[in-house]
Amino acid sequence: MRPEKLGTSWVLGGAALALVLGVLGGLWTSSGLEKSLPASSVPATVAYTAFSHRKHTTLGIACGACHFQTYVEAWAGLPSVELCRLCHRSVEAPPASWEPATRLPGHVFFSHRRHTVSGGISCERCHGEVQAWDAPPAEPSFPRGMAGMNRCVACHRIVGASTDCLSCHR
Amino acid sequence: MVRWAMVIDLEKCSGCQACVVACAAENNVPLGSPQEAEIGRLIRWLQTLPRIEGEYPHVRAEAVPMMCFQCERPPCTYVCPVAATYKNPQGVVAQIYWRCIGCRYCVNACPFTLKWFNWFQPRWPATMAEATNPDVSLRDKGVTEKCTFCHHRLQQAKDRARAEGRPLRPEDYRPACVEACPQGALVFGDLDDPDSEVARRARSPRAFRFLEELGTQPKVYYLAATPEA
Amino acid sequence: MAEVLRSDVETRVLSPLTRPAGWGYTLTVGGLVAIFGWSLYAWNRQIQTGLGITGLNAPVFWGVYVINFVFFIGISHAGTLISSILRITDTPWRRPFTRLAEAITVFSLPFGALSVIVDLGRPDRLLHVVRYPHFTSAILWDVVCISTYLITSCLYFYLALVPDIALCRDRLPETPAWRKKLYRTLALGWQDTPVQWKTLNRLLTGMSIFLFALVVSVHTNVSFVFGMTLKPGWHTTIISPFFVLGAIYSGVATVIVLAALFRRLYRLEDLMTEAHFRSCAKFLLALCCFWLYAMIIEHLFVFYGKETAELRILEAKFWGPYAPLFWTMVACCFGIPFVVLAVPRWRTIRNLVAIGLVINVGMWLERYTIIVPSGAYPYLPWGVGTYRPSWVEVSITAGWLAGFLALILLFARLFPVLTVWEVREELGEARTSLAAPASMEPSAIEVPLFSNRAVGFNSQSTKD
Repeated sequence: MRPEKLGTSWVLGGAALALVLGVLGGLWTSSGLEKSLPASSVPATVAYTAFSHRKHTTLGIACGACHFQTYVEAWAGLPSVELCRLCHRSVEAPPASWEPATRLPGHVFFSHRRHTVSGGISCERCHGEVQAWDAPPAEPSFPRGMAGMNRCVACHRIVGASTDCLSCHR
Repeated sequence: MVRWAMVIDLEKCSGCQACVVACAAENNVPLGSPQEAEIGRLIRWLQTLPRIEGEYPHVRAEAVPMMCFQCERPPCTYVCPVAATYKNPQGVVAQIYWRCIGCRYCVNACPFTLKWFNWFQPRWPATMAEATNPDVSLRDKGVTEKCTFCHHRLQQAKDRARAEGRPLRPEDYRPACVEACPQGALVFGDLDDPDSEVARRARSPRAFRFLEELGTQPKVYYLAATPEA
Repeated sequence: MAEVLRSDVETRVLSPLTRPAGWGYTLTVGGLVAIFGWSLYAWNRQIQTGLGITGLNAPVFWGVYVINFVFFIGISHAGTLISSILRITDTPWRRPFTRLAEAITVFSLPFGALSVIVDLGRPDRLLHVVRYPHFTSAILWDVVCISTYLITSCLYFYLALVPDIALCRDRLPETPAWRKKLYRTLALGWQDTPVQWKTLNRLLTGMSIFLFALVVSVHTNVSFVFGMTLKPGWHTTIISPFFVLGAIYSGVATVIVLAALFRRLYRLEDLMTEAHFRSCAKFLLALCCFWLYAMIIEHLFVFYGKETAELRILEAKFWGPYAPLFWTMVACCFGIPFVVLAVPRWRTIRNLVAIGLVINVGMWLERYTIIVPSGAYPYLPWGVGTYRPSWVEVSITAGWLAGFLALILLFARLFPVLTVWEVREELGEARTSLAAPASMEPSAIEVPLFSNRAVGFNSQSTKD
């Protein structure tokens, strides 16, 4: 993480925390959900590497609640274990060797912020049905054909964004 | 339409090399060594060449900063077999490092020899390696690289302007060399805007371009130093 | 009577194929393969470390690899010239040389192409040329031309070989099973029928004409790589014809050297006669004079033009740092060959071999003095570059030469080095025209330099 950006990150992190807390608080107070979601359904002990997107999205938690850098940085980022601890009492941290499956190739300069904030593109547009996953993806989190330059260029043509090579490769 | 260009005032240039350092740091150009420099293996997107005119005692020397001239009709882009180098709509000649096959045809075709080839995998001293600019890629061995007028700075400037909800101002986007020059000898801007400082200076009677007779139409202009009276 | 002669040619040409390989041959091929292997090691080192391991630098961005590229593509034109152009014009003295000439084409072209691949900084991205072709680039057209050329000349070479493979199949009963199988497969069921001959002749004539166009266009394209840049020294109008001429010149010289080698090794003295070589020598002399003409014109224009950047290179070549190489080149390409070839009684086979080697050295140096000085004296910056090939470049050059020779030698162990049907054709003709006695001396046949016969192939001998 680049130091000069830490300030904004923390502010937004705080905002995201408030959002998560708000969502959870809402869940508690909403009587309808209380029935379907008893307190025991939030497991006390969880493993970071066994994260289920499906379980969390059914609770109505938005992508940006955990991947909050999406709106401020070039990268989306992975939530920290501390973020998980807001709800779960004990979180088994991933081993040091654990790596996220999705990595931007070194020759592509892609900005999440430019696409989500300036472009107003939803996460599903590129990442597909993430809410159906029961485990962290073993492969890059793109459905078949969603990643790759052809996909990028096709969309850029439709919305009239720049297709100059220099925009993404430099 | 925007056409980025630069004017370098040789009268103001003292040859301090600040631009050279700023460029290398901004664009992740490896440090290199004196040994490499001696055998023509040094990469410097921007370099200052000494130009000596006349003979002693009536000798006059000046330093000429030279980066890619971003020709309007670039000879290097025509010869690339894989279209890895091209001129973008704003007149910047770009090099796409991940398509380049390293045939060095473009480097040969450039009459100014202002494109650079990675003879080895670039290396930095450990402390510098951690501090490379994340907005510019690290090139691999075996590809050609060149100055892009710090194109990433244009993108950052646009993002900033958009976030602040205002149009892009000329002072928002300036390449690293222009920013570093203590004398203000380097002026950067839009040549198609007749009121821009670049356009004004390019019309100056002192303005000239290197090897203009070849017809490549460089977009880096120089203002000749006036000999002392 | 014709039958006797016919079988005679066949036995003469086929007998070396049945002899067991001597230790001399095995050692030579082994040595050549070892040199080639070493060059692959050198290439591997270059891929690991980057092109910095060569002597290349800024501003001399192109060196020995590009020179080798032009050189190997150059000698490959021998095959096309002798076997197609001289076949179309039905020049009689070409006959014993066609097969070797075609073999030189087919075996030197891959090394020309490889030289370019070695020169790439990123050979792993070679296929980008196909995925992202950029048609304004002369290098892209080189890829197109040379692959077309390679495919066409391989086919042409193979087609002309089919009747001879059939001969091997039928006349070599004692060869090992794998060779029998090889001949059987490659002969494509050739049975010497008039219909097959007619088809073959038609195919070869058609392809000859196509190859004629290719030989000019391929080397013209090679010259475009240089001529179509703004570089002083390269950007000249005469560079394309000069390149084509030089290519043919070095190619014919290579054919002479290798033909003399196999003449000696395979005892083919009465099939490849002194007369054949003498005719070839006259042709070489003509090429030698043309070469001098083109060379003088090229430099004369620069000299009268008096353009600073161009003149700098001219001076470097004439009396500057490149003068030793330049004048050696002129001696090798013109001085020595002209003196020897101009005196009729000096046109012995031994001399011709020496001249052939000298010309090839000269032509390699010619490409060196075209490519390197232009790199060393660019318009800008104001400095002067220097270039000294490193061990990697030397190794790879030696390896490519060794690989080329090894392929020729291996080929000559398996297939006839003469086109049996063409030589038979010639002997049949000579016999009727001169009414020579049964124990004729082929060396006594006067072979005209060019005959004015119509385009087409004579298949007379197959009918009798």
